[in-house]
Amino acid sequence: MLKKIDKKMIVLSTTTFLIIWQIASMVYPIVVVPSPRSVILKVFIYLFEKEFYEDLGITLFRGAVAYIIALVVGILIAFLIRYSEILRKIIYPYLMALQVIPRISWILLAMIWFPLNSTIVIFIIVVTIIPIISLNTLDGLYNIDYSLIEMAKIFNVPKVEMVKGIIIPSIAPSIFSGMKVALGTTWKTVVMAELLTVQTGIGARLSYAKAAFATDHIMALTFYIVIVGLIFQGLLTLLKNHFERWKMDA
Amino acid sequence: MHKNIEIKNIEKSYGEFQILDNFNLTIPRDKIMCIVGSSGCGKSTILNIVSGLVKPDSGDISNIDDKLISYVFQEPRLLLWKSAKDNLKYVLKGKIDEKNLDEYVEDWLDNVGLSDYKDFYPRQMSGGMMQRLALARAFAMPSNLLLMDEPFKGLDAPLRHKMIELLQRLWENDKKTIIFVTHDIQEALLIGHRVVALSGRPAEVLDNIKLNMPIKDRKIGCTKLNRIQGTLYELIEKGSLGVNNCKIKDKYCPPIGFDTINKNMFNYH
Ligand SMILES: Nc1ncnc2c1ncn2[C@@H]1O[C@H](COP(=O)(O)OP(=O)(O)OP(=O)(O)O)[C@@H](O)[C@H]1O
Ligand SMILES: [Mg+2]
Repeated sequence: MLKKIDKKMIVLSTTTFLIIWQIASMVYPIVVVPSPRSVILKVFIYLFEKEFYEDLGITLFRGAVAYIIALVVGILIAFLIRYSEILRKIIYPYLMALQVIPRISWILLAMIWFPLNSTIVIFIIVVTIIPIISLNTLDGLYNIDYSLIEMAKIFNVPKVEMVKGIIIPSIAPSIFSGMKVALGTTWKTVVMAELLTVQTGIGARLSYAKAAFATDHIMALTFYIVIVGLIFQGLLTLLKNHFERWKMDA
Repeated sequence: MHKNIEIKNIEKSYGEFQILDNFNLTIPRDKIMCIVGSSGCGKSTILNIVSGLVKPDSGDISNIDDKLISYVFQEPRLLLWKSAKDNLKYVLKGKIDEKNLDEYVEDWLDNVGLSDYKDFYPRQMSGGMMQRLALARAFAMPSNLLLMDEPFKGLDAPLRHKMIELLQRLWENDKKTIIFVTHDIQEALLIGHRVVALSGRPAEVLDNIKLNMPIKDRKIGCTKLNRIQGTLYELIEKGSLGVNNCKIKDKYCPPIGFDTINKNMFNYH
């Protein structure tokens, strides 16, 4: 019953949106507001364009490499900070600073430091999301219930099992929430970094479209950026739910 | 052959609070020793020191090195992300023969009345069910020293009784050293070979009673137990009123004379 209403609502709101968009496109010049028809057409055209998939692949590759590097390094940093007082004093302030350095400063610095290829894009993403991963992991590490570790010690549970059975499940929720924020940030950052620094990838396509005042292309590309971003968020949520089955109701 | 556990001259303070001051206690081997005392007097602290989880400021404990310890903590301390069955398996893995493990775990869940809940996660259980799961875990763990910190709290009277019987049976089948902390003097009298009453801070042994009555003969409401119970209540109440040094012991303890009730049943330590 509710589902039926939901569907009706979606159809209704989409139709309203398209009508308003159509009217706006008739009022304003095509560069400002392209017609829905032309944007939808571009979306379809991309579907059959081999180069588009190549660019999408390059962008995904850069994002994935950066994401994985930042995940590993970020978690490692969190453990170092948590279990070494000296390292905490040294690293923690940098982590806080890293968190507030504007992305655009990194982009400018990276353009000076690195050759203009994938490295530069990966670098920018890594420095942007490391603090997100580290601080979230750290939160989880500080919240481990020490009484459970004590329990495991008393019952002679081996160290490996303590890590597998207590530490990892305890910090997983915090890591997942860091991963979720970091995933969105990665996807937005990869496109922005590409746009400003390199000639390949979805970001570069946006840059070309902008140079040509092809607003319909910008919108069609943005549509794909959103779709791909949502797909990855969905996959991550599935993974998280799998890990946290115990939180679900029976 | 292991010897009695000797707690000698233990000192322990938290900040300015002296919890234990020159505390001494002998824990008889392969017997059940119950410790009663008012809330906050240091019972859990004593268990934690015996288990090695808390280091005393000074003093030592002898004959503890060869002990395999099992512990019912004051809180259930369960892994929320593991089912009832997996919580038991988690601590028993490698200690029980792999091919019998499932059966062994299920038997223990059955013993505490949780056989229908083996796939439940702790958050799907009631407080008493979690407590019973913690009990099953401690009972199932192969050990020669079992520490129990108010293990039957949160259980209704019939269940409590069942658990007491279970503990009695467990001990009859596998005689091990058990230290049993409780607020419930009746409970202590039903299962203890010894009952130790502690005073308030710093904790002192107000009395250390030996009960010779066979554990399986002890029944709720039996006159002998009732009378000891009354005396113990009085003792603890006085001991926890705040005036908590040896004077209390001098004043109230020696003349109580349990042996006038039944000479065979217990004698002073
Ligand atoms: N980690 C700690 N830090 C500071 N004080 C503590 C700590 N653990 C226990 N205490 C103090 O030590 C005293 C004894 O605590 P303990 O838990 O041993 O009491 P208890 O006899 O088990 O009480 P209850 O019957 O209420 O469980 C209390 O006054 C408590 O405030
Ligand atoms: Mg306690």
